[in-house]
Amino acid sequence: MTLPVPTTPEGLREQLFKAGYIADEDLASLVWMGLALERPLLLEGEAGVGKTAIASACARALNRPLLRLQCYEGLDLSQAVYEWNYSRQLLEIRLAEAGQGDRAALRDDLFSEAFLLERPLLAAIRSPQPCVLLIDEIDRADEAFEAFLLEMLSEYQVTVPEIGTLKAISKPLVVLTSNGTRDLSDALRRRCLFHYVDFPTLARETQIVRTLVPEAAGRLVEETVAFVQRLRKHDLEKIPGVAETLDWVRVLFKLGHVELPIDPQALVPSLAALLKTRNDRWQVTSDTVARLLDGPRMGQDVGVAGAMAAHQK
Amino acid sequence: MSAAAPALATDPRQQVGEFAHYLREHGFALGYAEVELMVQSAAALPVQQWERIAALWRGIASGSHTQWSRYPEVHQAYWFPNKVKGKTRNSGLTQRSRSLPDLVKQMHSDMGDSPPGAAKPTLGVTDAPGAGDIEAPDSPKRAQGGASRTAPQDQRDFSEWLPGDMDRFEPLVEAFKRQLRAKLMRRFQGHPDHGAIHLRRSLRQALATGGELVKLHHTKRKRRMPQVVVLVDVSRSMETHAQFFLRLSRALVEIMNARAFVFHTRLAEVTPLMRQRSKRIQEKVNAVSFGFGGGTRIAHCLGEALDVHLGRTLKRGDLFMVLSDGYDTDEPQGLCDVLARVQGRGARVCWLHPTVDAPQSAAMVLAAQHVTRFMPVHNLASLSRLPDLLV
Repeated sequence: MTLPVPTTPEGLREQLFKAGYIADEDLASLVWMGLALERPLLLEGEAGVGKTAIASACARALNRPLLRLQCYEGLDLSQAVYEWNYSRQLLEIRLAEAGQGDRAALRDDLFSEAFLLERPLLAAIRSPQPCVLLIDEIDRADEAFEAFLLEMLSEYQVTVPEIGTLKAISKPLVVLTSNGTRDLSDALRRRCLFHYVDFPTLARETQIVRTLVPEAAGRLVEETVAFVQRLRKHDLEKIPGVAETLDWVRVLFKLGHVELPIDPQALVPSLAALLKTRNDRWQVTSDTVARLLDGPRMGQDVGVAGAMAAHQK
Repeated sequence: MSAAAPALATDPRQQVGEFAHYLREHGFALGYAEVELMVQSAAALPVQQWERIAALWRGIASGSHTQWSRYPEVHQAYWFPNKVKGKTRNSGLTQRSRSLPDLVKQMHSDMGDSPPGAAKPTLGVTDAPGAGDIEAPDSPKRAQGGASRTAPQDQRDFSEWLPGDMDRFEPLVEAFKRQLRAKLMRRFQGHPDHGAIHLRRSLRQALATGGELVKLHHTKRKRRMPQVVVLVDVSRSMETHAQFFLRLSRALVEIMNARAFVFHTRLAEVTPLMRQRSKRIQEKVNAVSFGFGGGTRIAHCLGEALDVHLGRTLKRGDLFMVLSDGYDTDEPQGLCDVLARVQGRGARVCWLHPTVDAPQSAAMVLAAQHVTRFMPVHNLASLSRLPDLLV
């Protein structure tokens, strides 16, 4: 059963925390407003900062089903919204021809909802209980599809020419994510509440890693996060996100480390979890790793403990 | 409540309308729907959490990362001007004090009882002072006695610009992009529901449904957007303008997916650098062009761009934009030859020069016949004529 929307942003933040997502105040406020005012959310940011995760966390926190539409170039309405069930229509016609069906009724019913295959967008608005609809990487879809979304996002309805307009039975929480690879239209942006998901602060990232990789030693987590935070200041082609930090901590844990090894050579092979392009691998040498290791190694050394306490308040 | 009475003298909706107008002045695109949403969100937020209104309004007002980053500063400057450091406010006019907590309280008392989506329509928002920028037909002309509403920055030369002024390129380049028209190609490509019926593919597909033509396949002629190539002269003679031309080329790369090159005595492609949203972009471009000689070998560099980098990708209708003052140390005939080859491929050669008049060097005089259009680009007003390149 769907849980009610919390009355305050703080309440939603707590529910998200219980669902395993550590949201900052601004993001929690925005999601709360999206739920309260029934507005879609547009989350933009680098890959791996937790844009997609917020949708699944909302679904878990509110006990709603999650419907996901992964966008790509060439995505069309038959894959995103609906498609006629041609095989079943044909079968009905054959049955009617063979005298086993009502031809008059078939004429009326052949293009009814019974022969409609619901794809994620239509399924989301026809769902009897409100759900969370994730439209992932909208910047990969074509502009034509983006234009189609306008009706769906503003009116929560879909027009099927053969039937008419199908209005929403329940209004979903729509979360659109974008990596910013191309500019979205102003019309789409205007219909959404915008949030730029930035890389988390040291304290928040430490908290995220501790929550999601509880088996790793505390010292390893703090040193790893401090290292990644310093690495992000380097001019990399693909800056490692939270997902990469989590992967790296898991790798180091599997290798049996309880803290970051002092020898940079021992770390270099595991950096494959952090650095995802050839140029970045070339740029971050063992000397660079040694310099990064020379900085404050522990979270406490750079004031994480105090910052985390403030964050938890 | 009585202490805040002067601040609450006006309608809270009008106060939000004034704030929306202030945001518009700072480049935020807010319509009536957004203003209404701001009012609704203020009403929906519990009174004791009024401080969160900035986060909510930030999500409504922003549409891009740039706006999202700038919003806190604009919000602070409008609602809490006394807390903004380093700003001087000189005004003979008395201004009503603004109080965001009081505004949220009043919104809440006015509208909080109604559900979030059931707010009243916004009336009178445009009555806010300064909300109507368009002059009424019967109102007297504002430009009187030599006064003009033209922003002085529009006429200021690029060499006098500050780095912070350069954000104004994007809207002009976007307007330029809107004028680009796709070229119709000879080749066909599949289309889900428009165009001519592709009979062979439709019949082949029909095998799956017992020969019934349930789904038709269509094909349409391919369309291709013209490619834009920007070549920026970063030689010593262009020193004062190169930074601004590089910023312009960055806007062209970001918005129009152009390919960018810098040249001096040698040529280097900087498109990947321009795509990175790094604050160190200028340093990187400097690093790429470091060590270039003092002269300018325009003909040699354009030839290299054409033969080595562009290859056969430069086609009919493409834009070959050169941003240079035209002082070439190569043989004068060389530039004429290379531009003739560019034109031979059907591309339009556009020469953007920082001077008011077209370049008059020996090489340029010879090559002028192969330049589709010369255009002075020395201030913002001249950039607004970019769409003329496509005429």
